[in-house]
Amino acid sequence: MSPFWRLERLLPEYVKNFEAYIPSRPDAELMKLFGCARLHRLNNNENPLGPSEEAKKAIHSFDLKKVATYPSGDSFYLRNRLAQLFHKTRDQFLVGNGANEVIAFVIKAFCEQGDNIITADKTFAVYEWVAKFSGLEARMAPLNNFEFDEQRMLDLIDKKTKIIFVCNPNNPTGTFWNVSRFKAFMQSVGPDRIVVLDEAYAEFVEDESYPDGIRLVEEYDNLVVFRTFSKMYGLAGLRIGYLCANEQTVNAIRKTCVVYSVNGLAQTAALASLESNDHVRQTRELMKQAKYFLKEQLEELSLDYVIGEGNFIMVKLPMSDTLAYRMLMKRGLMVRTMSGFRFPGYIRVSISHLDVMGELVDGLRFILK
Amino acid sequence: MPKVESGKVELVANSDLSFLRVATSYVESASLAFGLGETETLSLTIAVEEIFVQLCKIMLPTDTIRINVFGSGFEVVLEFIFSSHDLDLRSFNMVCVPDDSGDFECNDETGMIIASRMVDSFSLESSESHLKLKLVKEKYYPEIEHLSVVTPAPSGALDIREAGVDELKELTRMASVNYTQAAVPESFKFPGKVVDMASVGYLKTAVAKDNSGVLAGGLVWKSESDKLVTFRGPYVAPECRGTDIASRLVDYMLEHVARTNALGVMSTWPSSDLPTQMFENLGSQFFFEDGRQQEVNAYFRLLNEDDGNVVTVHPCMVDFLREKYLDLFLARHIDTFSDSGETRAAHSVLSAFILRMSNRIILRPVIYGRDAVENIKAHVNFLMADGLTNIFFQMDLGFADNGRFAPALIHNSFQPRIVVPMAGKSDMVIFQYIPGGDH
Ligand SMILES: Cc1ncc(COP(=O)(O)O)c(C=O)c1O
Repeated sequence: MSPFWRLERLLPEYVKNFEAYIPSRPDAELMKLFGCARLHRLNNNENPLGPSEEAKKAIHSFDLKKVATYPSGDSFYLRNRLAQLFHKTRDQFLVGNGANEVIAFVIKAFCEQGDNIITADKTFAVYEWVAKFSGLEARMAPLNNFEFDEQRMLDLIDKKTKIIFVCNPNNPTGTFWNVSRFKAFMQSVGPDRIVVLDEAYAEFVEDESYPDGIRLVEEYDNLVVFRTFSKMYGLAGLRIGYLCANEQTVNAIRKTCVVYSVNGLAQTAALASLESNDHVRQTRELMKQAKYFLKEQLEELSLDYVIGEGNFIMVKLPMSDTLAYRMLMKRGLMVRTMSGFRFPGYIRVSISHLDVMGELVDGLRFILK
Repeated sequence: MPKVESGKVELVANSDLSFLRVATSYVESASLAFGLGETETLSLTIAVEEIFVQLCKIMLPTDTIRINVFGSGFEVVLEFIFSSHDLDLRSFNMVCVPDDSGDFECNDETGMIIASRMVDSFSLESSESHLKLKLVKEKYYPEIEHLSVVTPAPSGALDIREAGVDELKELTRMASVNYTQAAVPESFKFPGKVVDMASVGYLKTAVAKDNSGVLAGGLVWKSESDKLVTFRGPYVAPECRGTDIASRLVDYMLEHVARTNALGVMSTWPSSDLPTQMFENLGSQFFFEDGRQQEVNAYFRLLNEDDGNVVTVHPCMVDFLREKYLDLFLARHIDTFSDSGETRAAHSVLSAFILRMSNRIILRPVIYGRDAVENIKAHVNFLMADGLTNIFFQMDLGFADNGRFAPALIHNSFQPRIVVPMAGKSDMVIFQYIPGGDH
């Protein structure tokens, strides 16, 4: 038998049918292929200001000897500090190699063959992906006017529903449920299923009515909240994020977590990030200015847009988004096409410095010609 | 949607003529069980007999042949799978190219040719170690003459959703009376078949309806391969022309194919209502029939971000590709190979995917050999003589051996027409045979 036939027999059907995600190539490769002299990555919602001064200092003074030894397997000091900041216990936190890894922890902990998870059709894809390649059904409720639609999600619940993922604010639409809306949803779901509130972009939201999931964990035993150091804290390259829930829930999830997946440098930098106030303020200020600038410019170009919370916006183009991607790449501007988020014809742009946003507007003007 | 007969049966037999009856009666009972009529079953049985006999001639009696029969409601698919080890693969060309050595006998009509005439589609696929002959026979469906009837005009808000049985039949009628023949699939003449295709998930559908259930438009699509989705339409009720309904139908399809394995969506026969600004124009192909020709643009869009690639091609392809890639803003580094006199197989093998009903042949390279020019010429002569006038050649730039056919194709009046990004292992160049040369 050829290796191909053997593999065919070994692979479960749901893995065979799954298409692996192909990440973009390194900058140098892309610049060579597209023939551009520099590249602005506006595709992954990173912080254009990078990490805070405190984090940079911690990274510079990281003791190289530590590289040879295993890190704290459960991010001990980081969890201590998070507990202190949020008035919780250390065991209410579980740290992972990015929020992406904790998504997998939660699904592995609660779901078995035959179970399903519920999320929205047009949201961050990883919940759906992990469910699908684990052989679980991912049920998708359509958004309503760019917002998560609680009734459509509730309608999808059945006996086999284990987890409901709510992305708040939603990537890519920037919409969010306020406290009362979220509480009403928790009430309707009841205590028998896990509700995950993905707050990857929480630190960007200034609206008073935004629900602080970490505080709400005290009210709902079945609530699990995700946060990450990749977005506001500018540590995407170090891969570190965490979840917070009540202690019993976290203890259950911990069983499926891979220890030592979070490296020491990431733990040190994350810990230092938590000490900075300026960084959050400066980032929010930049977001405000750049969004204001973009709104004006997009209106001038007669382009529809969706600007909400978070460090990204969506723009509707009168053309194929994947063609627009390649045209913008030739000008050194890398955006995220939204076909894969089921928003064909839209692109998502991560907010960056004003001069880069100016280049983006020039790029858009060029492709509209 | 009603349930239709579907399933799979398998037979493994030695390639020994004493098992011929076993093979034919097995295929006969399977195809009847999967709902084919007696006439269609008889055609399929004749095809099996021809192929089995031909395989017995070139294989050892100890070799085995796997015969799979799949029923999918509207058609029966028959596969012969066998090891290609030690076989003279020349036998799998549709036509025979005589050579001087005299060690290969050329008959006028190979069993494969006879078999191909008995079925609706016929193709040869090769993997590293196996060959697969695939024959498809469709169920009989009555042809419906679609009549123009007076229907109320759709009004108010429109909802887009998957078509139910009656909605799908209504769509075949609405499209057939309002659009040119070329813009509507052949299958729309057989609404029963379209319904069966949809009920087994082979065909996906979208219809736009108003609150009282009046049809405003529709669109159908299917997976052409792992990576490519093709669609027909969008069809819009005359009262709704010029509204955003066509774009909404296209968006509905795109949202459904996003996050699947598909990398691209294409229509080589779009309707006049296609919102072309949402697609990329890949260039045109011709359709030749009854001495007339029609030129149609192929519209395409990728579903993902193409981060560029390196392709290695024959020097004669460089200008064509450079221009296409520039037009499509595709980042491609073009490398070339040339023939430096290295030893090559003497004989080439082509697979012919024959779609008799729609008068279309797609030639695909299996093995490159020194006789490529003669082999292509022999295929063209044979197919044209058989009344098949639309001959295409698919070249996957992901396989160097594919690319070697380029000069032989050009020599035989084939023109590279379009490049479909990432439709194979890499980009797919579609050549078309242009009778009489320049067009
Ligand atoms: C909503 C959402 N959740 C989670 C993540 C994953 O973040 P991390 O980098 O921590 O894995 C992202 C990253 O884009 C995101 O947008």
